Amino acid sequence: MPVTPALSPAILVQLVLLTAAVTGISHVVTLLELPSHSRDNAFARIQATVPLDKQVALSNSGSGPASLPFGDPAMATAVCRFDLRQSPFQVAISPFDTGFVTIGFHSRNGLAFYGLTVHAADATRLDLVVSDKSEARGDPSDSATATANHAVAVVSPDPEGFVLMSTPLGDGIGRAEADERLAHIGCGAGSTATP
Amino acid sequence: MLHRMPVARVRRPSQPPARIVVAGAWKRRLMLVLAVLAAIGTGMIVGAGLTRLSTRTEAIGSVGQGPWRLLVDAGTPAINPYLRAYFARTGQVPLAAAQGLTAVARRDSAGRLLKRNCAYRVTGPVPPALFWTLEAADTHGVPFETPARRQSFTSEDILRDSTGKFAIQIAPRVQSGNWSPIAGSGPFLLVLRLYETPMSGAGLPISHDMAFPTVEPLSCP
Repeated sequence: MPVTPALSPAILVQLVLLTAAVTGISHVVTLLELPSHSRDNAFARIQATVPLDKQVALSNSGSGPASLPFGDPAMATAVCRFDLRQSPFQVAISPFDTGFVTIGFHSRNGLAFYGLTVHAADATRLDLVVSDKSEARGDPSDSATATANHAVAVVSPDPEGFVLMSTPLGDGIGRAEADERLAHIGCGAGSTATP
Repeated sequence: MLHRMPVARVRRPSQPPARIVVAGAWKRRLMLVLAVLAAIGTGMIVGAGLTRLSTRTEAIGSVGQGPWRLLVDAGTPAINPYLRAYFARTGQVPLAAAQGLTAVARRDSAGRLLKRNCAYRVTGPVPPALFWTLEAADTHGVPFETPARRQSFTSEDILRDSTGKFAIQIAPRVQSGNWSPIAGSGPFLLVLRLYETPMSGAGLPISHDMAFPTVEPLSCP
């Protein structure tokens, strides 16, 4: 007497297709959600050690309470964390004597949404005002637009994020001198950003 | 006299009892439900596993250039989702496009994995940039702590020959000239950061004839 299989070949094919479809959906969803939910991402690490609206120097060794992996050991780096739901955020750069400082703006979900490099030759004060999309004015296609008072408005895709600022070490520049150069960059809530 | 004929209670083989039919159908439905749940569970696990596997390194979402992987869109809102997930897993922060471009080498120019017990020579040229740094680090991005205290070279402190060219020896033992010490065992990586380069963001397109340093193996016990 022939034994009837519990699942017919047609059903087995459908199950394979279902597995493939769920695999694809699961892959895409986990890939897109990982930056927001990772406990190891840069924002989570910074949030654990860096208070809001205050510049904190990062360790270059990749270890220690305030450090990030894959940091550049040839650069002195500091970080400021912002939360636009609690307070406005501004970065104020006053002129410095030598070298350059490179500054990157990052959202909590891992997007680098603005960056600039300031040289010692740029002997003017520069203010960068960070706002989120709901506060943004001006051309929506440009993430940074000049405002009436010659400050630069930077639109963050997320109300929370951080700013990393780095300047070269070496060639006669020690950590103390580099930190002094970074101190020409103030960050904080509005007018408190004065360096 | 009427004889009552005995009635044979013969069960027809083609028509099983209703109770058995119901039990068989119920069993088949249960198996189908279990099979569907298993398919969904397998798909979710395999999909998440694929995500984990594909975001272990920067291989997906970067551009190959000899031994280097260029993280071209890493500093823009158009960052590749695989690269973004890789950064989130490792805690890395990419350079914003206006800051520069990062390139990572996990293999030498012959395609072999970089090993800490081997010696390598990195020779120029380096693409145009205001300032560049070259670092040897472990696979977690932590620079090597060695008695030599040298963790990186930059465009400003490197020794060059009379033609302006340079060579950096990456080795566990002391080398003459530009020596970047490595330590321990296992694989390592090289990170080249080009600050304020026209190649980043919407700058120069990356082409295969663009000059990047070569990574030659010197010796490997």
